[in-house]
Amino acid sequence: MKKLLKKSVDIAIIGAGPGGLGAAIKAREAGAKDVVLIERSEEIGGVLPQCIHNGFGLHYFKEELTGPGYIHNLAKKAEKVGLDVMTHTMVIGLNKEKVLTAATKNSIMEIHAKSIILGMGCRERARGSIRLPGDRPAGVFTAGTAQRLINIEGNLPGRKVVILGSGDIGMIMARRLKLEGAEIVCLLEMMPFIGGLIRNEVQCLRDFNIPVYTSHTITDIIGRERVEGIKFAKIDKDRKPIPGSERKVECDTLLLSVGLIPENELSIMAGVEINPLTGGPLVDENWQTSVPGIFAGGNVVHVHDLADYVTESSEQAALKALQYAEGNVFEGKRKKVIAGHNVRYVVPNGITGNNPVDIYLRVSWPAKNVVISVGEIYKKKFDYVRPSEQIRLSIPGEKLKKLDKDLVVSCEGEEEIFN
Amino acid sequence: MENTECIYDVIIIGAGIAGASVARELSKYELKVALLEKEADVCFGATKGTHSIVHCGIPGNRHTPLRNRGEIIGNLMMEQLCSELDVPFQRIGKMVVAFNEKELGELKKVEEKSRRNGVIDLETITDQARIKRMEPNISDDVIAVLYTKNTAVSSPWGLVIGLCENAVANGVELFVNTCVQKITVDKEQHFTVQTNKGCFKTNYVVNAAGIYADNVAGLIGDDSFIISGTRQQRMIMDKKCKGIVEHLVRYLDKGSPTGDFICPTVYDDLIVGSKVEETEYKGDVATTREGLEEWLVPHCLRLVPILGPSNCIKPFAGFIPKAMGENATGDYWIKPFPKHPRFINMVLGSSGFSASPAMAEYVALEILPYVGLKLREKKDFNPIRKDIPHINEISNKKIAELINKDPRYGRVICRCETVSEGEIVEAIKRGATTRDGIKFRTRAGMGRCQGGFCGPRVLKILSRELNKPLSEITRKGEGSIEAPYKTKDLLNGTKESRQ
Amino acid sequence: MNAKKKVVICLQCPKACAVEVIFDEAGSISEVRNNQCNRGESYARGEIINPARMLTTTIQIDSKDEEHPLLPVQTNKPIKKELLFDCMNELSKVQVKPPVKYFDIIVKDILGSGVDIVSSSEVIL
Repeated sequence: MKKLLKKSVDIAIIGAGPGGLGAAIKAREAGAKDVVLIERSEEIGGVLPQCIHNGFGLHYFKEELTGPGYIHNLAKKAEKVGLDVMTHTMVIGLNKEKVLTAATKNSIMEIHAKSIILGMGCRERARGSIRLPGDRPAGVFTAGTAQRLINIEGNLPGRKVVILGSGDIGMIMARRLKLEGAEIVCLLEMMPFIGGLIRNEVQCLRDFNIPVYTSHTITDIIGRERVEGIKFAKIDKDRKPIPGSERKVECDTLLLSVGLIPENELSIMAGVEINPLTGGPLVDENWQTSVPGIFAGGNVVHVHDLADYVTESSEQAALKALQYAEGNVFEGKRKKVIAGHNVRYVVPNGITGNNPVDIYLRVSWPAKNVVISVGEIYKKKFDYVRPSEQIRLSIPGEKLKKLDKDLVVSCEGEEEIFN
Repeated sequence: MENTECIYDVIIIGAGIAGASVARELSKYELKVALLEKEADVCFGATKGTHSIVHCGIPGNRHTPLRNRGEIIGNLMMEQLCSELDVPFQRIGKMVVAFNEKELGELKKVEEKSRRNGVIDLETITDQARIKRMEPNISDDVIAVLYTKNTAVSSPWGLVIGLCENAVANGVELFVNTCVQKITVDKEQHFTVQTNKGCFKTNYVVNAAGIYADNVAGLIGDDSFIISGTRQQRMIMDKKCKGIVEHLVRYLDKGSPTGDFICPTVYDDLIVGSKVEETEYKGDVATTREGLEEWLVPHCLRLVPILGPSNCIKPFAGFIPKAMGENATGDYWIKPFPKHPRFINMVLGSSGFSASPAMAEYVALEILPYVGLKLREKKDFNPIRKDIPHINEISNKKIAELINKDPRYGRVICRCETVSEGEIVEAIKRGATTRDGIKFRTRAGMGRCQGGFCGPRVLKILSRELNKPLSEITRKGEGSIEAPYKTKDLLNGTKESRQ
Repeated sequence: MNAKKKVVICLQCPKACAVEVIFDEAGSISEVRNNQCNRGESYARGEIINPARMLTTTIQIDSKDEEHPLLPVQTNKPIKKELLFDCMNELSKVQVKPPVKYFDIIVKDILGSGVDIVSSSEVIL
């Protein structure tokens, strides 16, 4: 017999990473009975089981944990609320009517949900998307792929490594590989500043004397079968290599840590509108996307700096998704929230003015002594802002009561000048 | 394997589009045929780097009658062939654009010449509204197009794999990782082909070794041609660009042998080509910053302004061989070596993919019989081959049926292209031993994350199914191990791994 | 005595001051400057006197389960920075038999440091 199962639920959550898991737990805690949490992988946790480093949990659990430790703690909470996770289950279809199609090990399922929470997280930019030139040998990995190989599968990609990009995973993998006995030839960054958190710059790069070249990029990858070396050069303001600055180094492995992109294939399939600045869905203050009843939380909306905030935002989405499943509709005219000067993006993108709102943003360029303003209703001072750190502004409800126009969020201050 | 006892009728050297096509053609007859491939898998040479366009005979600068015949007849044969072999094929049509009156004049000349050569279903369109209806995203500066209806797209690797599987099913013996080292001829004109895997005796040799065909010919003293060629840099654009163009849209051929084009593929993405250039060494498939940023990106934007470079998921390059020599002028070189006429060179080149069905017939039905091969039809020849079932191409009901038979079809490994473990295991059963072999058979790793997610999982499945440690699994054969050490191998206290 | 200067990037707040510490060969600190607050001074002093880091790594699991060859482990508190590589070598020899519970001690008092290596995950049989 063909197995084509149908099922109706209140809330379906896609992805059991720190976001989806947090959302599912919160929904259960808030009284949701019929929650289904769908995970494509063999285990829960998303990317965290491979993130064996510390630095997780300080905000959410008030203790410093590793990635596996963070998931261990969440799993204990999940156990308490009696949460079932469908692992090995991949959602392959999603539509506006909130019908999911999922492939499992023993069937294809159709799940009809009253509300849906997108929790697919994000993925790494690959070599092709930055059009990195050169040969195409084995030995070029994204940092996260290498992380999985090393920490989960038990295989080292190589022993002499160049890293392109100073995202957090790139820096963490520099330390990880160094500790495992590999040589880190150098780390290259196209921007004039490091892309990840300062803590990682200090504890992963400086601690291990790893040579760092900012304003540099790779101009050629050498090797027919396996990477044998790379060429790199200093770049000018237009990101063009400066003639004469090119040099060659030997290596057997190249890791890429050149950015993360929210993963929204399913969102797009369902007709959810995407914000070109984040790559994630446009959401309102209820974490609701442009499709009523489809909510989103965590890195699927925008890439967070810490897993703690992924869990937190997904929990907020879960409470709203539950209200929606119970028959509440989130209406009201929305005013847009727009990224202004030195603001790379803002989330949420629309607010009704009915509730207090947390606005999340990232700046485009490091700056000191800045004032971040939200329209004319809110201002906050910061000593220092940098693109690697997500900024949260909590706007009290009363400030929003008489909201009558769109809000531009801008960041004015002394922007850093790099030579 | 010591094959000293048996004598093959035909040994084909090289399992690219040329060799695979001839192998499948010969498998229709009562013959003992072996197909030798030096790489770890079929289609690992020049063919994998070709574009997927099936031309229909619009002449370029150096078209010869043979090539013209190949393209026109090949185009007509290809649809049937792809349907027999379960390989995707779509007639999308081609629009060659003119940006000004001078180019329009050129277009008209090309149209006239094409008609004289026997190309059918073509017209020059100067109605800009109609052009926009056909391709809404084409540049407003395009004033005319030469439209050919029959231009199609297919899958070069899909076809080679299909041809090889069908040839093998019909009795051809395929040997991969088998590199020809020496060829000797005895008085009766029997060849002994010596390889790293042993010797093969044969009455006929078809040299379809692609960019290394001159090296193979050299082994029996044929130095009438050398292979040079051009590197062609291209970009694959994300499948979210599907529909931005529906036809093959290309510039007029101006000096570059293929012209620059944007073309939909049978896999829903787009391909942008080509920066064509001579390179320092044969087989160079590196991309360059200049080629990508200063050539492909601006040329692509000029043709279709909304197709920005951020949509690129993979730049790559192919190396297209051409035979050069006293009499070889860079076009197809398909002829017996006069000193030993049972040794036949078969070098295709740019557009060789389009012409391959016709040129395989030409070699199998005209040249080989001309030099003495007797063809007797095989009564039980089965032309039909079924591709691996792909869960992203079939209905949910069909997927459920597959999962019912094998639960591994319900475990998605490649999320970008929705490829299941069942498909990957089936690909290994059909001969894949490397990550690229899996990629070409299933598309796992071909999507927008380029194997970032599925890569380690595919390696693990390969390791399990081939019963080999993961640290020995390669991307594309010898020398391309993906993860050569085990975690801890580089620390004191444990043994050092390979290398 | 020769005075040495070291720049310590302070991790106590987002400003990330580059604090300069002047000290002699015996490690005695004579001056701390460029810090903008007291927390910066004490952080910088700590980095000179006794720099310590959490170590997170993996050890091999002695089991037939090839799906999970490694167990993630961590120090239960920061360990002297200079011991990191010695710890790695020491741990490369260690194998653990399942079952392992979260925070089980894998190596007690590693290299006499007073720091334990504990499991940061669970392995069931």
